[in-house]
Amino acid sequence: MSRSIGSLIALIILLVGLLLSFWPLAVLGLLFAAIQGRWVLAVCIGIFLDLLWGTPTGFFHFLLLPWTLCACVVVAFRHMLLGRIRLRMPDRL
Amino acid sequence: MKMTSPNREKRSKIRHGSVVVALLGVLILIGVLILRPTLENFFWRIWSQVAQVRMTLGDVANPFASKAALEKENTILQAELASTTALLADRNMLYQETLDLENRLSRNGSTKTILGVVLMRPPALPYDVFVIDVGSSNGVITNDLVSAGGTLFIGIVSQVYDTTSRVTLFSTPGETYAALLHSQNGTLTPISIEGQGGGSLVSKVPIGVAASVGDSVVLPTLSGGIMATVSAVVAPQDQSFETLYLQMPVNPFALQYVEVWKQ
Repeated sequence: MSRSIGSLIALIILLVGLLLSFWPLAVLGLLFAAIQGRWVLAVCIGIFLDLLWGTPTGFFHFLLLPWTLCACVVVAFRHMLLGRIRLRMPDRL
Repeated sequence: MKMTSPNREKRSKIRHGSVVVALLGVLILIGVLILRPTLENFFWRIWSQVAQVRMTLGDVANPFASKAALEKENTILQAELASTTALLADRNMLYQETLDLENRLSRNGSTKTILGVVLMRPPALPYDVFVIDVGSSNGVITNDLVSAGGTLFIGIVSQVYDTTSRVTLFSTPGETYAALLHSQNGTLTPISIEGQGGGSLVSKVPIGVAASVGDSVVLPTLSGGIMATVSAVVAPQDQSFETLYLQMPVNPFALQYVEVWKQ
């Protein structure tokens, strides 16, 4: 899948989630962008969702920007995982 | 000549890349945290228009709903309206008596209210909050009470922007409030209620407190106002406390309009 198509799919999933007023779909769009490696798009979606939904209530109030953090963590995890895979199988990647 | 293995070079590049990505991430987070109030204000100026257009489109799409389903819903709503009209008349009479009494005792309980339209509610967002279309430009301030209509309170204003506000419901998980349990024998017991999400709350009271299903939980203020009703009482044997399960009398996630009560 090319990167631009991956980004487009992530944005479509986000848009459908917002139109249908169903937040898990919007989060799925963010995760899709992060897993694809489109970290700029993932962080932008995270910031957008944090501005839209505000600070979490209750126990997770301390997170302040949970969806931006989620995007950063997933991107960082993907980066580390791919790095390890490249080291072990340099010929394949 | 010193030879470096390709693997070591790759590892070094990957490490540098990770450090750069991490630093950029931290910088972005710090920037957003510092600029958050300004960004949210600006964002909601634009998004409130989008949300209102979306609501209008939703209203336009209604004619496509099944006619039979609409007729059936209409019949049910007519019946509910008939039964609540009588209750409303009774309530209005009692409310007027309360206002008269407060006026005589020089404690005028009349309050200015601002009507707001609910722009966003769960499941559009993952937290038990509403976003309404009135903000500081309409005179809303933080901690204003929000009601579903009359004295049926559902939450408080937690964040105010120029044209929108965020309302945290009483039933939001993790939120606790002081309230009064109005028992059927007329006693008022101070209790602490905790939100469980989805319009549900819970409270623990000592065994022996006169609590039964149907009792009201009211705000501990002069104007009172119902917050919830007792839906179940669980009193395990050999325990010092009994658990009261409370439910908001109105489904907060079906509300389209709310009233903001000015402090």
